[in-house]
Amino acid sequence: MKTKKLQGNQFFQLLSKAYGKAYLQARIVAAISQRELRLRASKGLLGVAGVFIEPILGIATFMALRLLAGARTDYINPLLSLSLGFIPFFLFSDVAIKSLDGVQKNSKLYFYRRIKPLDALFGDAFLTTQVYGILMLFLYVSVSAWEWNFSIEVLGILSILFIIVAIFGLGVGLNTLIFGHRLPLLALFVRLTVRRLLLFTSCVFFPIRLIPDQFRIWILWNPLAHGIELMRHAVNPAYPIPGVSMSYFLFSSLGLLFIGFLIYGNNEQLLLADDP
Amino acid sequence: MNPYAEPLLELKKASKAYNGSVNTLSPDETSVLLDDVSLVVRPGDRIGIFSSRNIESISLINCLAGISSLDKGELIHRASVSWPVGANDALDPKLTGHANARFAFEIYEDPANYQEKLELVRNLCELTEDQFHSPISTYLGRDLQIFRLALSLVIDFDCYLIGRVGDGWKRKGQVRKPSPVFAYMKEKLEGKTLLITSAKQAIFALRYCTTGIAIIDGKIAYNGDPKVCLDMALEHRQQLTLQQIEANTASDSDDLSGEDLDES
Repeated sequence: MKTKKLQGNQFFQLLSKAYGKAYLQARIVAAISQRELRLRASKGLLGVAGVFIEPILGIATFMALRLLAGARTDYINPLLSLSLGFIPFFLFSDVAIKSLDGVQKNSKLYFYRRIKPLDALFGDAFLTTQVYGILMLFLYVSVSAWEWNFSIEVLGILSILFIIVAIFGLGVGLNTLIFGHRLPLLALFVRLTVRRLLLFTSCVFFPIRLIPDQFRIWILWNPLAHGIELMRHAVNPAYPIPGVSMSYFLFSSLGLLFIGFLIYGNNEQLLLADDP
Repeated sequence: MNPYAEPLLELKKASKAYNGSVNTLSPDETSVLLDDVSLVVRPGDRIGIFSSRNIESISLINCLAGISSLDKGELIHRASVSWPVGANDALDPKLTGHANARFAFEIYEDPANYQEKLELVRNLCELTEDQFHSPISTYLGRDLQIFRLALSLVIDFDCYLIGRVGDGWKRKGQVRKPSPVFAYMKEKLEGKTLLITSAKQAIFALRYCTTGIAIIDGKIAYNGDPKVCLDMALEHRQQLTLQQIEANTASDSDDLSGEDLDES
């Protein structure tokens, strides 16, 4: 009886310790995110508003070019369709590709021993997700109010898909954090090419149904293309998504995150070393 | 000090070398800063670190704080250990004093204490609300030094590692009255577990520590009376200086004889 009671106490002690650690980790991530927001705000003339306006301008430029080139208006409002391409794409690229410089960029923060490269990556990703999430919410609410067809269910599905895109970005970011630190040349190559390559292979400009079958199978290797098309499909279930799979998108995102954690766990000390 | 208490901090067989220009090293030379150093810090210990070269003791403090990595060996923290008091590389010049201090508290303090501690830092630094909410890049050198010191001291740690604290905090302004951080430091460090570097602050280290270690050529040569440690460090420094002068004289004479040969 006494042994069982002791085991019970030990279990609760462990649980309380784990909760304490998780709470501290969450506090650290939130603090880094807030610090990053303050830093970004201090760089621009518009302060915190500038943090949101800057990506809007970037996305608006691309969208204007695409709309001028003649965006298709079937199934979904073209503005919403393009927003659902650009916003997840920029979320992904900001989280994943910027992680290439993550270790060096945040090196000053490791002066506080409690902060690890993982926390810095999570803090940045949390802020980026918040910024693009608010943008997406704003655009969805504006377009659906304009068309008078707001649906809380669609918003819910969009939010879930958006979070999976963020997880996918984080998974890739965790891997690039380590590779970027270990192989600076590879990091440079990725920085110069991958973002452009992904922009044209993630269904940002064109829906998957317009891509010929022989090329579609290659595009469908890219989980981001699945995520973007699923978001459009969520807004209008009649929107055709041949070959797109929710399970592929979900499991590749979670799988990459898992692999990222695995690689990170084995390389954390290396990231904290004085010299790369 | 209880010799049987569980250590707060342990350093096991630590080694660290430095490539480049320590004193007169050329960039391709390596200087050994720590060589197989082991150290155990228990609650109540107040240890001064004395070394012939300042970089050795500062390096040991940085390694113990975990901000500088070890080439070999192991560092174990069993309690909350400060960063080197008086230094702070995590401060961002674009952020305000308030934002920088708040960030440190968010990492190390209970959320319930933020406001009280922020106010304490502001008072210790004798900053107005406007100054406290200005980017720290606008602070004068001495004010920034006081800010770093105050921020390190206000956070509660089990063990304080004291790096180069500078001397800007001793006097402030034209009236030459000591900064409040001076009195606060005396009060805060009373009875606390400490490790202090003696680099350019030997008297300060002697005042606060009860025991000392002398690091000679990267190794702990003596562990005991801080005054003996200081004497050993000074004596070795004199030897190094003499060796340096002899080496310089020899190389000068070689150069001259080379010139003679060229002329002949």
